Amino acid sequence: MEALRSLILEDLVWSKILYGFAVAVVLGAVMLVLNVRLIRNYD
Amino acid sequence: MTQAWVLGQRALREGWRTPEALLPTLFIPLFFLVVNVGQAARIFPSHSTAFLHGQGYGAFQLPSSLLLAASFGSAALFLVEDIEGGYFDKLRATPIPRTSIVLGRLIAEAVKGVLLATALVLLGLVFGISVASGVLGFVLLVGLAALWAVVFSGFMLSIALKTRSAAATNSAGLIFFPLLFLTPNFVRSIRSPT
Repeated sequence: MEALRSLILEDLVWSKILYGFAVAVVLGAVMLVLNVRLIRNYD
Repeated sequence: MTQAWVLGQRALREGWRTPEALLPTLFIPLFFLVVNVGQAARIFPSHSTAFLHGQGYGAFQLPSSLLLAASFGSAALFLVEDIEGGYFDKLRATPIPRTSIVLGRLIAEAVKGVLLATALVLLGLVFGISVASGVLGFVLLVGLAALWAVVFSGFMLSIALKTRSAAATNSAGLIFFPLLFLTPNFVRSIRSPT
């Protein structure tokens, strides 16, 4: 949220932007691993 | 990866052919944007509210609407439809990696996320909101919103695969609302720098 907000309200504040992307990438990786495990074990 | 892309294209066609499922994902975030701005814009006038950086309150609320739109993905419900209709079992019987079934859905959600975020930001521009970080900021804004769409769809897909129930999957999606209200949604947190 803060990363998106900084992009709209401020100039490029890389500390906030990178933090936002890092959170999304980490959570995305967790979800991907979880889904791959679930679909491989689906019967 | 080719199989995932083909299944992603199928998921996109599915979404395109079901506009009833796609339109609320644009309408509801816009509704929240208008209602929240209508409620709080007078409390936070742009000229005397430091955290707005000279913009209107709509600019502060737009990220909430972007996240809301990104969290309304329909991938998991379409997957449950495939499971209930038997198409999922047919896919499992074909010689494609099972992971491509999930990846296809996530690719489609990323594309839909880009389209929805672009539409919302462009609508915001029409209503006087500007992206202070410029063209690169616009691209990053859309990219981050689309990435969140993939994350939340991944969560929903895991519920769909675990429960195989449309009701459970639909209810799980509602978890976004309490999470949204745990964020500094209406006013900047006093711990956040202006």
